[in-house]
Amino acid sequence: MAEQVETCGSPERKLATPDDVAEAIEGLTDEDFVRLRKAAAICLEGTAYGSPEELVDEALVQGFRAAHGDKGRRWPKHVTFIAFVFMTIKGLASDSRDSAEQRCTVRAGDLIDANIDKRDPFDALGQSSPSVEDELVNVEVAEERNAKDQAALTRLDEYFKDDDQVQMIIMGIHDDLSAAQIQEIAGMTATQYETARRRWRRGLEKLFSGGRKV
Amino acid sequence: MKRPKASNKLEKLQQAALEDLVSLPDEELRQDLIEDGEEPKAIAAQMRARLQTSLAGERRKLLQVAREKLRSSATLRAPSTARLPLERIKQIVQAVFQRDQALRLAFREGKRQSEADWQSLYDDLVAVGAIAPNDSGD
Repeated sequence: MAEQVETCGSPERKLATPDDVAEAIEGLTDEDFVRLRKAAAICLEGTAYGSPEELVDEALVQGFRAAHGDKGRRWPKHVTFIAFVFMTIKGLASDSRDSAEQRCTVRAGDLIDANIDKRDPFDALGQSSPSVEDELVNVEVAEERNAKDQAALTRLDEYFKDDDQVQMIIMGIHDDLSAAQIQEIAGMTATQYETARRRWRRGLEKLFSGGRKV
Repeated sequence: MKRPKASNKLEKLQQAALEDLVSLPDEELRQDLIEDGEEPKAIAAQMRARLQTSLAGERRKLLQVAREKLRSSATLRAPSTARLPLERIKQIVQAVFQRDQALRLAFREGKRQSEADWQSLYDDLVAVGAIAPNDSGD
């Protein structure tokens, strides 16, 4: 496949070829796989993926497919392959949490009449755009997602309820504070901050890596 | 539609953790695993095996698409009834791939394909005239 360049309003960026992706995958070290698994564990909460390994696999396969011309996220060569796969993992997890496809399919199925063209069930209602039905579905899905995400945040708070330093870090992240600012406010040394930050990250990995079917 | 607040908060925490992970030294990564009683090699081996299975499936799909493209765009001719040795088939097919990048991409891991895959692709290429059925490889 000829080298492709995207120009989308920014300096020209080269997109990876299939050979580039194959080489990058072959070049993944043991530590790279571990790192990717941890990233997937952090993002797994509320998705339809059953395990961090499944999410990593899907991200790498999608990168492979996209390089071969299929739809999906293509690797721009100005970022490292690991960073690209991190972004893909995050994107896939977000898409999975946002997905209302199953719910929409169930609702659309209710409108299908055997004698009506099944390609667009909303035509049966004589509507040109299914805005009312879609809106109801979207609101319900958004509320359900918010409830799940709030439950995840609550579990996180509970997990760290006896860890003041981690709670300060969480609050600092929500308030967009820098590491230095959090250290100053919380009265932590750099070492204490780094240690607490590590406890927080590992807590996230443990809490969110179970996966849940939606 | 405005994104719910809890989702924004959760995503912010996840993003911050991902940023930490990207820059985490390998040594600290290994330390995490030691504390969890896990071994990087074992984890990586399992994930590699899973990935190889997935990618093998993707390559078969690419091959199938390439074959269908060949079949639908050309007049079929009967392939040679005399079956060539496998190594000769590989030489001829690879010569075709030198001339046609699109075909090469669909079958770029030819060394991993089965004998049946090679023979089947050879037949398709003869059928559409990409290979002459006289073992010339032209």
